[in-house]
Amino acid sequence: MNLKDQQLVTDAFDGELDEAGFRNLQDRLREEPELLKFYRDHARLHHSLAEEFEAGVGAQMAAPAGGARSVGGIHFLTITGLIVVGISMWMMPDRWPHRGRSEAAAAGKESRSEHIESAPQLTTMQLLLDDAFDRDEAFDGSRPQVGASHWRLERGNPQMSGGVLEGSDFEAYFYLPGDQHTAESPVLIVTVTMVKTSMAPLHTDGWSGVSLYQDGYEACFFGDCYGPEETWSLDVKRRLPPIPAAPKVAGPRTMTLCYDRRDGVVELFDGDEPDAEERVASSKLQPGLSFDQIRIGASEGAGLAISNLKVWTMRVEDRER
Amino acid sequence: MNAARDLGEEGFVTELTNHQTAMLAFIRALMPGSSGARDLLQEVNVILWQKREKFEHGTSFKAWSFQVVRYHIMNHRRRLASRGWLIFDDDLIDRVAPDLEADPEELEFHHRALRDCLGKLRAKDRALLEHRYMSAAPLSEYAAKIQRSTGTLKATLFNLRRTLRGCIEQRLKAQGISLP
Repeated sequence: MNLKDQQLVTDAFDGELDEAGFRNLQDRLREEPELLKFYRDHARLHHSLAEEFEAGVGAQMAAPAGGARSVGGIHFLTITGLIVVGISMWMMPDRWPHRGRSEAAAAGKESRSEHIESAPQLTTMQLLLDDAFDRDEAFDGSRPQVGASHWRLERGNPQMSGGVLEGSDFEAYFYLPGDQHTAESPVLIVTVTMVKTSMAPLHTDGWSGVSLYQDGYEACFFGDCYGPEETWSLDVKRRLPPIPAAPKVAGPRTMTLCYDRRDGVVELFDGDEPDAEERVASSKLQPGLSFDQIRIGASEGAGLAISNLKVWTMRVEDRER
Repeated sequence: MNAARDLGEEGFVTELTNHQTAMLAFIRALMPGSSGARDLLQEVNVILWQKREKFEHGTSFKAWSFQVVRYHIMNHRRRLASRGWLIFDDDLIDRVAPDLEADPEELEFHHRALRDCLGKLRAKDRALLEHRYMSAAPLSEYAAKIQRSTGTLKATLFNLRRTLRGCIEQRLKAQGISLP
């Protein structure tokens, strides 16, 4: 394959061919298998590069639930309702036991590893982050009760007072240890407790909530997504619209997100534990992700007040499918 | 709504979700250089959802959905072309489509390899690629910004892509992954 022929193909993907040039390319693709093979390889590279860097655009925009708004335009919005209807009917098979609230209450935040004896599927949990936000110090740079890193404030000025972190128009990041969310401990769980704040409402046209990152890319968000809907939502950043909780779940409360890296299933639960009866949204991410950062934040005009944030990994020995 | 239909819709949404990237790659291959691949994907999503009752659970979602993509492009050629998009002729689409249909898993392997290879690039080379794929601004604007000629940047992009193709091929080979 000579360089001129390669240039013909790359020009096509760069939008630099006129109609005559495109006609020439088509004629040659009909006749030349080698050129077609190069075309296929370059199409794959072009697609991967577009996906890689367009995802970067989303991360740079720092708009967790805005992914749905920032891509696709009118047609994307058109399908939103249709897909959401479909996903709301997507009843995921139970991988979690149906449990009462009493076991969650037993999950004390002081301990670094815990065991739930009455739920055979759930085994030892390794806490990666546990923060009650009750320190008497500046939030930026502070260390939580449990966690191998510190909070890094990249925007805004949330205040920590009386066991609540409260703010609007801010983003704070925390590094998660990459060696804890592995094939041996494939399930990552995030539980956040939000409380009322007088600063700004949780539900606005903006966003407010929690995001998980890998390699600088936001993979998943839960909280109040962009848009007028007053409900918690799950946004898996795969250019599908955010998935609203069904039934609708509104207002500050405790919510739990679970990601299973074996099959990529991500689920959102109402409450402080993964209880199958309390699942309100579910979707899929790529399998095998290992999240290395968590972000909390809110857009301008939106409020976020958190009294507790907990992240842990766990083994699931025998999943009911 | 009976239980069997619920099960079918669950499977349908799973398949639709899992094939989003592969469908987008397919559309991009059939309309090279067009900026509207994502919009077209959403149009196809709507059609697939409307036709979901016709999808037989257990059959190939990829084959079914890619056929809908092909027909949609063919049926709307004039409208799409009016936006200035270059689209393959119908006979060429039929002829080359099987070569351009990638499995979601193939694309995932490819993308992971690409990420590894991008990590080896110099910062300025990566910045050039970022401009090409993240910005709607013309290359000439970026060339002026970094005080280089547009022709030089085009040549650099060409060489970078060639380097990436080779790197990806090596990485996949090293992992024992053979893509068609």
